[in-house]
Amino acid sequence: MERLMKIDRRIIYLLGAAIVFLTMLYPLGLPVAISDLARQTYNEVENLPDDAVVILSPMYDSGAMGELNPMFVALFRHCAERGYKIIIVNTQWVQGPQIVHKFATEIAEEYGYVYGEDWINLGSKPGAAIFLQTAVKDFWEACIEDFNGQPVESYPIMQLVPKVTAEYVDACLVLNCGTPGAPEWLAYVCQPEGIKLVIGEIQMSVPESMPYVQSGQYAGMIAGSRGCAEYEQLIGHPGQALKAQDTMSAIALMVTLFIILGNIGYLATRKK
Amino acid sequence: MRKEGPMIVTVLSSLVVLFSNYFFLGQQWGLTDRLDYWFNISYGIALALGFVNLTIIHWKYVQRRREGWVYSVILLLVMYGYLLLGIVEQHTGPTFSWIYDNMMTVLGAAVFSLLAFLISSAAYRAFRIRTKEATILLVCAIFILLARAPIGDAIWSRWSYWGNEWFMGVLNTAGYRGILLGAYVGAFAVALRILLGLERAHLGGTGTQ
Amino acid sequence: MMWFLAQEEAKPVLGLFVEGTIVDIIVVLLLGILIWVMVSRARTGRPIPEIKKIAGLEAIDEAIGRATEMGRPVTFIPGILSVSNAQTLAAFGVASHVARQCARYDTRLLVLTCDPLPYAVLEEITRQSYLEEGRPDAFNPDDVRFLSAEQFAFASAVIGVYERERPAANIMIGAFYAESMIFAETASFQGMISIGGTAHTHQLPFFVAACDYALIGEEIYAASAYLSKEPVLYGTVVGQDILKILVWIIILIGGIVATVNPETTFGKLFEF
Repeated sequence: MERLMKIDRRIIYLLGAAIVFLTMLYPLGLPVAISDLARQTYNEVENLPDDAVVILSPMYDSGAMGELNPMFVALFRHCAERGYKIIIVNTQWVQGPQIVHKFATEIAEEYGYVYGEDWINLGSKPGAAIFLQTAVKDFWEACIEDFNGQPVESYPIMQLVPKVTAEYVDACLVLNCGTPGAPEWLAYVCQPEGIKLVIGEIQMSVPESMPYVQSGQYAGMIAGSRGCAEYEQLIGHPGQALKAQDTMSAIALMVTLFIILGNIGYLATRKK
Repeated sequence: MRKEGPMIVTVLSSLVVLFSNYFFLGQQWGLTDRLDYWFNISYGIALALGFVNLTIIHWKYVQRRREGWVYSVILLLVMYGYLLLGIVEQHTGPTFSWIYDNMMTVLGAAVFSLLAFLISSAAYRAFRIRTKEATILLVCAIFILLARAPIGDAIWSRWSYWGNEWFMGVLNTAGYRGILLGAYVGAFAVALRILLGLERAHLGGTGTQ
Repeated sequence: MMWFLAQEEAKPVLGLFVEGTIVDIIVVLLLGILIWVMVSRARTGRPIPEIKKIAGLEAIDEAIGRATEMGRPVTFIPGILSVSNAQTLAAFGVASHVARQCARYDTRLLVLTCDPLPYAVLEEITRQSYLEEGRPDAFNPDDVRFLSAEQFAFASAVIGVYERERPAANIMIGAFYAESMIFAETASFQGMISIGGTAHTHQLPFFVAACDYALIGEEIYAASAYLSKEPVLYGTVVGQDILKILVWIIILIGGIVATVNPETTFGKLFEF
């Protein structure tokens, strides 16, 4: 019984890795129920005006891309389907726009979106709070050039957004995994300017963002990988997040079983 | 004056931020923006100093053939090589981007993915029914773990509702708000202690007046 | 859904203040007065309320003692954010205490940083602490290390230090993100005694699960006052606790009023 308390961690790791591979090869196809929060988030994006301009901000780096790339894909696809103009920009997270550029290019081609007219990648800008504050006053001055090093004012899409205010921007969709992140967008841009803020959050930080959703400061939230799987179902394009749900289930079950085993061992040895 | 000088700068900067945020005139003058610029410039200078410092330290290691000096050579080569490449190609250059995408991004993701394994072993090790509180923690952990994955719903159709919506939205949010409120009041008190010069740890030494 | 609408034209309140900041100013003044009263009482030797024992802070000396007995080093990590974050500032107070104790017991202290500014400050704090303990010769500048500004490169470097240097105690106080679990769990593999503290609520569960002692939220802000045993700094913590009680009373009244009358305008009182 004492052995149950001291299972070698390498066994846990090996089993975990095996489960990940197996569930990827042989998916179980368990249904994913759609929560009210996912539906609310979907509706917030769906119900923007037809000619809406949205800022899609990938505030993350390689660490969080497993969870946030599918969210980016789902949100970009949803916006493209609705015909919104999409501006990709972030601050401080240097890798973010680089990571998402290829997904954006692929989806844009699929929907016949023209770079510079229907969508643009402005890259990562330094400055965090300073960038966001400047963007509210003068978006062109804050960005200067796009991902390819061309002056931003040379693009037709940028003529639509001289400032990041409610007059020119309909929503900010921020994919969040740390600092600076959604709270900075809320404090410096969305709350003072009255712009709708929808976020995509890594599972780890969902509890922390929940109070903001309840207070209405975040109009919606894609809550972790599970939330993204729900969102993918709502837009009718099952993607990476939905595929990952079987792995999540199997791993959750494995961890639960190990916890139970550990406790059986603990109780048995304590009685002795 | 070694401590008083930085103390005066701290107090003056704090007063400028307070004036700029609370007083209409201060807001119109945009003093906080200026301070933020200064902070970013100081940060840039600190980074440059770090660069020089790193060079000096590792150059010494190489000269003295200290244990592991080969790694110092690699560090210096990579640091200066990538810097030069960045200057020549800029950040959008093909080689610069290739190295970044295929090394930094992949390595970062690999280290992050270690978490999946570490969380499993930590959960196994930590969640034991040692006390009443530990038992509550264990039950909550298992309940949420299964609720966040579709397996919860497969066991009981209402699992996800109770776990994700009620548990996370009501119980968890109430707890988080409590911790956050305490933390904000605490952060606020630290700021005030520094502003009043009662806490001086950031200037070195014991941290008291 | 509550939405925050943009203000049309900013005007000063009472001809002097920014709109929406009056309550903030009152709170700042109130906390200032509370701290002043408590500090004055402490200075004149009058009694002030006691602070409860914080197990995590009591354990710091125990951890250093254990490292001393084993003849192995202590590691200190002040989070990964810069000096503009209050948690990093709180970590400096703890670093000062840890450095003094290590100097006193002639135990090697390794300070590992992820940001150039805290690196510079911590080098100074450690040097000064060794000097104040009369052991300037024992201070080794190479033991205060700036490892990397990249989050996961820093995480790998810290694991490397744990593996090579085999510390006996691991103290982590400050703003942590995903790397918290990597540090805490690796420290556990190495048989180190771990003390983790952060106000980042998304990382707290990891510290609670994986560390021997965890400091939760505001406890890290009280740490430097608590460890210094200075009545004057104790006074500031007592002042902060009284403010918290006031906030608690306001929340309670607000909760009751909103339950009795959901249409209440009680919340408007705090929007000035």
